Amino acid sequence: MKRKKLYLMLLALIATFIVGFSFANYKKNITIKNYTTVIRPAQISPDYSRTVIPPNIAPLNFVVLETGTKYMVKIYSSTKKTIEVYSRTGVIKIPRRRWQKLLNDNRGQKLSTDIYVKNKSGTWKRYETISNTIAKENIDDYLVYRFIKPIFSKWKNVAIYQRNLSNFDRKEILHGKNFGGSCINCHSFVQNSPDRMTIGMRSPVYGSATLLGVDGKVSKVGAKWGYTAWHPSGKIAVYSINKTRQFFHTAGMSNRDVVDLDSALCYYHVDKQDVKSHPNIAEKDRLETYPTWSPDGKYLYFCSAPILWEDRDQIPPDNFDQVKYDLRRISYDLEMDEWGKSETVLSAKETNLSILMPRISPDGRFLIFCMCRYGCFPVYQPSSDLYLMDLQTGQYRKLDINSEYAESWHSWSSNSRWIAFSSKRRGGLFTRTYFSYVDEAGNVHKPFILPQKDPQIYDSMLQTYSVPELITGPVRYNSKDLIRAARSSEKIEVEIPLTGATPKTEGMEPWQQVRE
Amino acid sequence: VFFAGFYLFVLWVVEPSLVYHSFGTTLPYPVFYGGWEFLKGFLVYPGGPVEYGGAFLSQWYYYSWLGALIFTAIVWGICRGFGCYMSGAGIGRAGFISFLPGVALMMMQSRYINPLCFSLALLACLWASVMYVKIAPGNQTRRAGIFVLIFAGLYHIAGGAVVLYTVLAVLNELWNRRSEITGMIFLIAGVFVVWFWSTNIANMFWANAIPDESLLEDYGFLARVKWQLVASLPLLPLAPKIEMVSRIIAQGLYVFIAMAVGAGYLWQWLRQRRDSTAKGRKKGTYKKVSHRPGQGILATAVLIVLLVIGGYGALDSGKKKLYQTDYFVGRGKWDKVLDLSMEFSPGEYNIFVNHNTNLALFNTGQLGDRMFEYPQKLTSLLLVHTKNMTDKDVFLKRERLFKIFLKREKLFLELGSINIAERHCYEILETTGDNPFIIEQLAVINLAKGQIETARVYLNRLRKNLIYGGHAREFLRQIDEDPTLTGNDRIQRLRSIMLTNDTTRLSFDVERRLNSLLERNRHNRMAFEYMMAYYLLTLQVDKLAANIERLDNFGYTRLPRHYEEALILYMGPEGKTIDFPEQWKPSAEAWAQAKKFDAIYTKYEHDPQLAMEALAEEFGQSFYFYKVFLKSGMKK
Repeated sequence: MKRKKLYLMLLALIATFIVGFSFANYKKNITIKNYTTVIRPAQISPDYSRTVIPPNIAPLNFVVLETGTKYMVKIYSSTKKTIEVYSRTGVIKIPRRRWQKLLNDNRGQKLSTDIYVKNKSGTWKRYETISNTIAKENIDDYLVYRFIKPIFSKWKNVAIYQRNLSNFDRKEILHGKNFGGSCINCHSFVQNSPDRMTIGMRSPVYGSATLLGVDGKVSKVGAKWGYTAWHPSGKIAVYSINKTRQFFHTAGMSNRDVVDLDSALCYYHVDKQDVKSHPNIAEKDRLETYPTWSPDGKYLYFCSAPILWEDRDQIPPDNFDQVKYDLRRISYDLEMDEWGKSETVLSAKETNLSILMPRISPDGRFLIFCMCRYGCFPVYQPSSDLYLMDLQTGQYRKLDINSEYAESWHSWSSNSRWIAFSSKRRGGLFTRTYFSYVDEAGNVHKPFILPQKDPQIYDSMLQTYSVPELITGPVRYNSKDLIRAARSSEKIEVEIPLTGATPKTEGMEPWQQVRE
Repeated sequence: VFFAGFYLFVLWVVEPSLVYHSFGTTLPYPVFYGGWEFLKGFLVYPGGPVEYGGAFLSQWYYYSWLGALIFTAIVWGICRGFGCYMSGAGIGRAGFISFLPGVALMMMQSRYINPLCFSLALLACLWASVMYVKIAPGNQTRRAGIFVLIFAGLYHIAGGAVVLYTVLAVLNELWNRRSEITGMIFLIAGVFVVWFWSTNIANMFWANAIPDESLLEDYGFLARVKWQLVASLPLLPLAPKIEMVSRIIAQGLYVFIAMAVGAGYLWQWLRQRRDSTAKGRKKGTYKKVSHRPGQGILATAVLIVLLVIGGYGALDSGKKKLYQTDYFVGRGKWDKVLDLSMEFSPGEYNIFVNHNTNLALFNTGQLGDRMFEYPQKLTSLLLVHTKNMTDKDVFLKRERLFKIFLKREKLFLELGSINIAERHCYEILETTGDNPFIIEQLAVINLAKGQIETARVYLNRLRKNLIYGGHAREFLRQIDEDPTLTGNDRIQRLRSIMLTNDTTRLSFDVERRLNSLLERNRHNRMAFEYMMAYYLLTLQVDKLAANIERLDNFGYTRLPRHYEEALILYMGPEGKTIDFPEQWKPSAEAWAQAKKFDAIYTKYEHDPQLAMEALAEEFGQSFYFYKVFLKSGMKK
């Protein structure tokens, strides 16, 4: 009997606690009747204002930076349903399901956000409405990116993740710690599809190789691929081999720099399991890199620069800051496996800048590329900006979305309406992923940062988001298969058909290729 | 009394703050942040909760008194748990024996390792064992159920330490309960739980659950269990990362506890047999043990003596002195650094001590006068690339390389080469985790460069650190008030000396680097004195002479001793003329000393060893001696 009473009392205590806790945290339905109006929008972080957002994006949680004791936010569009969020701290976390319904029901409409802040004296202030536009077109559901600290020569925590863009789920695809503290990079997909992919690996234990995911099976190719571009057919993958070296600046904002002492393009035939090259994409006196295919698979675009140094071992080489890449293209016949003559699309002589990382929209209409003062690695160049070329007219222009810091590593969504890109706009060091809407006329709208469940996460995040690639679904290959392949002694042996000026990547010190 | 003595020994002899200041260099930095997100990562793998607790408690080693208190409390809990287990398991009062784990743990702490994870795991294990013997019912099946439940919980909390719990439970079954079958069932159940975890539960959280590299499915059954118990957990004494002596002590402690319990059961069994055969005595009743007066005092005295002998016997005094000198450097107690430098034996005096000594000499304005009073090696300046360092000991251990990075980072920052300092910071951050000191340095570097937004990211991160959070908040407040930080002397000083002209090839050219710093700011005294030290150590007296006139920029009132000696060597016996102002010319006394040195050396020239011995007493601290014999610090 005594014990029974004790249990009952304990139960009552727990119930009281639960009820009390729930009551204390219950968000009452506040109706704000009296308020003063502030003739400016409230300051919020991240900046989600005057932008175009995908209808399938995760809630754009934010923090109200105005001082206050209570906060209320109303989010609404043309349908009458309003999402109201209350907060005591200014951190606004939007309920996901209601948010998704609101966006989905209002495609192509304005999305308005009213922010009310209560000050210490008990008066509510209402700030000017923040407006965004909900696009009609979805963004691809997943983003694959590399998540690392700003590393130099040592690496310990290099991982590739995929993020579901309609919520906040993040999943590890591959972590370097799982196979001897390796560096992993250069993930690449066939036309935004998660079915066929490659990941480069450099491991002190398991060597340098490329993990190749084809038809649900992962295999290891015994050569490290650099920047990779899959032919739209998925039958061949063109990749660069780079004699990359890292060096350092003694002063100035940017500390690291990278130079390709030599580079060339090769291509791997998936069915034949062999590697080939062609003199027109591997010229001995030029540096070829950053391949990308036109969506019809008839042209390979790439960047090419003359080698300006005699000594191909000196780091950095003479004139490293004079090297500027042209944008070129070359025709290719897949059936005949024949390459045409390469032609210059845009020359560095014309732009006086180095043209890098060309990526063509899947509809074949636009080409976005980076241009920076010199060199081959725009993410280390604060001068790097994004440019858009209309492939119908050949006209190009600098995009308004650029900042004073480096913009780079852009990728298109499968419907050609969105781009994801890396930007260091928040201070110049940490790359974050941004998205921009590209309308049919080629206007690129104000970017917004990858939304996070905790909107303050970027304020103290020491890692960088690198090489953001949009894909239409989750990666088909799980970590275990990738790790198993990485650790395996079984590999597809390939002979790189290049000698002389353009070296093989094998045998290099792995640290010399560390890049963000 | 024992624990009061224990506390005072840890506080005064070991000094936990020295352990804290070795985190991130010779010991891994126990990263800890508040909040659910951080905690979550520790909850998904066995041993994670203990690691989390260890990381949290390690932060307080920053304050020696608190660190000592925490460690003493844990050790008290272990001793008490051991005692409770002995009595709860029917062995009898442990008394004296129950304090012996405390002596072992003191010995571990005296080795300057971080014993908190290990101690917490042991604490959890012993109290889980106490819980088991207290609540274990008579029914075998229910007892097995209770065992498995506690095993599973303990395994998740304390990881590999569960082995000891299993051993104690099995001993209890064999000796106390006399049930060999249940004992075997316990063993099998334990192995099964670990296997089940590794094949099922671990897979659910696979992405983050395994703290190290693994692909468990590729292992066989027993290998998987072993891996789960040993390789994945830094808590078990078998873990290879623990320093050897500490590892032996930890292993010994596990064995001791198991053997003490086993011996206790054996003793009880023998007594029971004797008593059962004794006439007129009821089965199962024991003769009450009477304690003689003063026995307790004697036991305490013995324990204290054991504690002191064990603590001092295991004390790694070389490591302690090394940590002390680092600690004093960190706090700018330069006189103490110099005093301590004299206490190192030749075997203990390495390039890190040398480096600290030179820093102390510079900061007390004595580098040009007294540097050859101490053993000197060029590598100790840490200006040359690590590849050029020939000292074997530098490369023997991986952590020493990080220590070089850490020291170079500080040196280059103070010299004004802040991009190089920044680079070293990133290397350390990547390899040793979120070391708060490095995060603070990165914030300072970015503030000096005017990259306020980047600095904010570092400061916001640092704000979450229990110890350095205050520094971060103060910086953030300053930035909010004045983003240019004109009132911050340190930042302003760095801005005044930091390189502004980018030269990519300067990185490892010592002379060019120091010269470029002096070109940037001719009043950069540290760059000047380190350059002169570099010339002295590389015997480049001509270059030293060429830079003598820079002394005008630093307010010197006289020519420092070693510069004077170098100038005399440069001028030679024939007195090569130098076009200096009179005040920078060697004095007549200096010339007289040089002649004396020369005379003695000439006398013993045929036998360098004899010459060295003859000169050591009077000239063992001079540049002449170093120049001839490449040795210094002879008086020491």
